[in-house]
Amino acid sequence: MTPPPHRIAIVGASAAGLSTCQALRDNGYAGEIALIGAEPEPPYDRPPLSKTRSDTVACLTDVALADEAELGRLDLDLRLGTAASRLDVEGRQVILDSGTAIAWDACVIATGAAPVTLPGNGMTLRTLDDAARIGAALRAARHVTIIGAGVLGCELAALARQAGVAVTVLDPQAGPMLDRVGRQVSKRLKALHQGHGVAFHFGNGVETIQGNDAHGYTVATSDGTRLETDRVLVAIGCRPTVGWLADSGLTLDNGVFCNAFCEAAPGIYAAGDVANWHNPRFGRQMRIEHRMNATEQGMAVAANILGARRVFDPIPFFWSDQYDAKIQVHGVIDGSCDEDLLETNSQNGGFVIAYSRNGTVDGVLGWNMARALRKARALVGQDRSAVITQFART
Amino acid sequence: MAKLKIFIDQDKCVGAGQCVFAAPEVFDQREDDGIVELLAEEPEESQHGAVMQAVRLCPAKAIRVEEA
Repeated sequence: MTPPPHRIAIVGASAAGLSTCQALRDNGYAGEIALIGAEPEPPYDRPPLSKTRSDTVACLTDVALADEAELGRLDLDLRLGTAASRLDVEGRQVILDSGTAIAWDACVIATGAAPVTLPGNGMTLRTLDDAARIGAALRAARHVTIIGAGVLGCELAALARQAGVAVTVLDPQAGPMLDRVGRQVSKRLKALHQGHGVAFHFGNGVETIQGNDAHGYTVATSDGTRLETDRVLVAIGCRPTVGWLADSGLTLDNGVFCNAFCEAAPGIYAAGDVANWHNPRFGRQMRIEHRMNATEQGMAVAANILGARRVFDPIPFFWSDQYDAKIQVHGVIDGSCDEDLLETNSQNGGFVIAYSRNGTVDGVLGWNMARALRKARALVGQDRSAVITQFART
Repeated sequence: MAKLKIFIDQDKCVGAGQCVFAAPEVFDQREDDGIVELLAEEPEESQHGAVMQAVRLCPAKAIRVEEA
């Protein structure tokens, strides 16, 4: 039995890292905690950066995850504006880019993910700075082109339309958020955005982005289309931030490869967007870039550091707000699932859909059906045909 | 333990319902849009653990407690 840790280093000062700190203190841990963040700001929340109207995200205080009092309670050795450059697994220390070494007897990797970029000045969104730049771009532009019709691309399209900016969205897939919400909801989303004036170009990748802010941009697609636009936003997904772990000896495979305890190696854990752990509820490895997961996985890691030895088997949850549509998903779904409409609300057009794989419900989605969806979460893991029968009767 | 007073921010709330999963006797959601509603502003001491869980889990940070 290893003695309980008294020096914990948490690398990454965003939602997952902070959640780990809070849960450690909530669970009575009184030892040292070093919290290391590459960004200069204290921990802040990212979803509001794309889910709130751009002109309302004013400053850090709107999105801070912990106020002065809470940071004081956590009693952290807070190291902001400095990235970790190396993890020394044998020597039990993390080396910062400033050269400082921080010793630990338990370490949490919570370095998140970074947006995939394209050559040619397209703007990506991850940080508060990015949000400020995009907010300024939306004020300056008459037309923006958004590359990528995933969750972020769709949210940005809605933000831009609500700011009165004309929008074109490009994606090589056949519809918006197709691999996130499946065929029926993708179709609904497409109609929703088109109803708000968004122009879509599906089925083609982007070849080049050329131009500049002063004279505008030309986006060329693989089918030869050339789009003239004022600004280009790129939302084609993220990659886990694992470059600093290259020589650590840890298994890096779509993030930091972890077991069901979110453990990458003895005493080394991962939480949040960077963690690729085994979720026993679904029987497979998963890496989840959802806000909810950052909190829950941080809590699970904290408990396991302190000896709980509990598997982390959540039903993942995400939501997206676009115009007046609130889309929420419990579970793990994609475009290849069988889709069954369970409930509709004739008053507001809302509905709940179950998504199944191999005869088992793997997730449920609600469209403006928050309360009904909460109850439908209990269907995850149930037999598809039994669920269909149950709802046919009601 | 001291009394706990709960404050909810319905503008921040995203209707995820995590608070209801954590503390169903203290939180509920509005039928139409799923926004949080308080069932008990100063919950029983037996609920304090569940309330703190809800505070932590809320993905919108829309719940705050003060020791009353």
